[in-house]
Amino acid sequence: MLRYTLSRLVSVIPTLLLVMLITFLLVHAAPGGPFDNERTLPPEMQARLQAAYGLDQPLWVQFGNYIGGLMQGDLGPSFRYPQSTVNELIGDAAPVSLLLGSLAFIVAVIFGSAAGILAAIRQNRATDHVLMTVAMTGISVPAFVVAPLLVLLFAITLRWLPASGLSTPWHFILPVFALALPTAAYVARLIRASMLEVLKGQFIRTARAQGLSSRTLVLRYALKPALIPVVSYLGPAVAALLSGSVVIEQIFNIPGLGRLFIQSALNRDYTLVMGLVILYSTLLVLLNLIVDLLYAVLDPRVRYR
Amino acid sequence: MRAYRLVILLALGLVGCGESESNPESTSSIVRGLSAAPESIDPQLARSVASAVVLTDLYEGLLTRNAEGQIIAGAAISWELSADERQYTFRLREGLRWSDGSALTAGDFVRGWTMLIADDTAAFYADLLNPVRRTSDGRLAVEASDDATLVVTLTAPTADFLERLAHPALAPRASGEARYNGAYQLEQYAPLGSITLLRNPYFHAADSVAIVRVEYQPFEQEQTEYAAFRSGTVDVTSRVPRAVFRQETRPDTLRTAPYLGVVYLSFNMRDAPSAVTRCQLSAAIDRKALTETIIGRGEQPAYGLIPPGVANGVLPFESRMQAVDGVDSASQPTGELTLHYATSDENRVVAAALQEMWRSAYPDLKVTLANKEFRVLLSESRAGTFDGMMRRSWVADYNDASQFLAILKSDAAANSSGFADARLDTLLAAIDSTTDPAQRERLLHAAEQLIAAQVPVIPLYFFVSKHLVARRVAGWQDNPLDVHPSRFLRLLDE
Repeated sequence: MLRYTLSRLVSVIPTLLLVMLITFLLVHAAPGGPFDNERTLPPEMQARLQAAYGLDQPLWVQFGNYIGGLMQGDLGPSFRYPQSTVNELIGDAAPVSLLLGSLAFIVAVIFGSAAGILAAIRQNRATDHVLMTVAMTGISVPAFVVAPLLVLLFAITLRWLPASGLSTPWHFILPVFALALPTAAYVARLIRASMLEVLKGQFIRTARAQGLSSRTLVLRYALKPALIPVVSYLGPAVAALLSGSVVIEQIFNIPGLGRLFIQSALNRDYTLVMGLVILYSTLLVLLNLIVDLLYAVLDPRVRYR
Repeated sequence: MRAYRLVILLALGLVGCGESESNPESTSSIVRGLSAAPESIDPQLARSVASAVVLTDLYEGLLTRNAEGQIIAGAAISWELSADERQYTFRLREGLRWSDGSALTAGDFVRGWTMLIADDTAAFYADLLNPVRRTSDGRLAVEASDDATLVVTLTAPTADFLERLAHPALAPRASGEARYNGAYQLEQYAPLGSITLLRNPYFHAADSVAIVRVEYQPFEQEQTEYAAFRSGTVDVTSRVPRAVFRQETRPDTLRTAPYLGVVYLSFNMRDAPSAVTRCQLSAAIDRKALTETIIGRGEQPAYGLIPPGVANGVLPFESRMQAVDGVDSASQPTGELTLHYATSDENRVVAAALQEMWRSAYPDLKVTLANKEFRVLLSESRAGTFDGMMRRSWVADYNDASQFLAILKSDAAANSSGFADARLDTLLAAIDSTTDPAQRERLLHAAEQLIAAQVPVIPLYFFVSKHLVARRVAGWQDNPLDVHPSRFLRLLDE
């Protein structure tokens, strides 16, 4: 297990390097630069800015410098925010997205699994149909429709909850709900399907024959194997939730990673784009590793060497 | 069941915290929306309008602006211009202090201005100090002759120099840690989140500042800002979405005013259709329909580049474009033409309307629309590589008519058309150095006619500023520069 983990960790490095190289080339290939502004700058000012940020050097030198800085944990200066480094910007935005993402994750898993289990035990009955209709809606209706509707209803019409920002715990309710909804819906459907599969298994019949209550049966014996497909879905889902939802953060005006990502790409803030891509890909690769390791915990047949 | 209990507990926990933290806000506190996150709140490093809004509250230049956007005495209480109009002597107010209580001197202005033009600052607004003479070693000819006197020497008489001085980039700079000399000081700043300012007790007019706390919240999405205003969390918005403009039936909260900005189509003059064709294209545009029916937010039709609200823009404001010689007898334009514009809701609607106007006027001319991401458009504009026309706009940094004609100066950075006319360059240089208002007006008019006769650009309409201002906020004055320092606002008792 340990050897497997270590070898997987080592294999992460070339993956990340390749991601960085591709991102670096792509952002530099995009037309328009970080200093193209509404207030057009004279050519000599453009040149001065290019030199100040090292953009006048050949691309491979720039990439080398960037990797050199990265080795020391320095993601470079932001091109758009002259007072801030990329480390500071990500450091400011990451906790916001992490908090929002974890809350959404908890809400999604709790509501999603509860709904999924309930639907599975009440298969083809009214509860099942209602829950699965809600879940299907949650998956099909995109966040940019759900979120403004929530704002319209709860913030503007009823005035129960604030429309944007994150300054008090009240502010979290709408974005967390909007962010959790599709994940919860997905989890519910996955759990329902795999639960139904598991409930048909021989070992469940045996357990039932031994006279176990259906509550023990479901929670103790059926849930664990039923979670395997959910876990493999949750790995990337956690990465997506934690690294910030682009849409939700824009709509609720939350200063998190998702909004930063959009803005950095639009502003051609090269270093910030790079920093965020590195963060996101590292998160994704690590979470996938964790998911693989969790299989061994959930399924006794899986062994890593 | 345990899961449900946890959720209920969690929800209760959230509710509990909410009550303890969301105290009713103090009555002398307001929240203002910003159109983007300010990239910097350092006056010399700042680059955008959103930053300038915040900096206006934090810093005060030698001159500053009142609620109507007019120039008034700021840190300087008086100034004199030498007989040859090349030297200004500014007297600072007595007892000026930074926000930490330390003395503010004329040297702090020298420090700020020196930083603005320094190479490694790479400041966007360094050109504001272009009229100031440089010494032989490249320094600014700005001298603090004593702690309260600043002597500025110009290369030539400059009509708009005092207007420039109210720009936040020309704020003084404290040595060491950031300090503020404006009506407010910084309480909290996050590059992407909200910015909180508190009243600066050391500001020379602190007694007249009614609002104690100002919070700026950046909104990239105008709809989000609108929702925040409607739900009561924002008192003043930075704009009003087009989609809700007509439904905005409460005129006491909607504030629109002419704004010093012009929208125009720029031809690529390196490879442009003939002047006659350009004139025909311009003549076929129904600007009234464009501003009243298509955009409909109070924009003014533009037949020239200088907006009606400009301070010295007492030029005859013609309601018809001047015709180019030979346009009456010319045959209709044919062929193909592309109109490039930056992706946005308003731009798309305007471009489609223009296309339709041209199609019905000249059936043989085919105009294609090409929308592009803003920065792609800017890079093409800078490189001069676009074909046909490009939708551009220009917003003045300060209130002077010459700013609008200078975008066609042959070496101007904003000159995307590539238009180069030596006569215009000479005229513009003369306008800059002429301080007699009547003479200046004649020159401005001559330059405007010269441009109109060649049609390198087609003016479309003038911007309006658009804000939603909560009814509890008083002291808001519409003005063409769209500056609204928080120090002049106050709250009404509800």
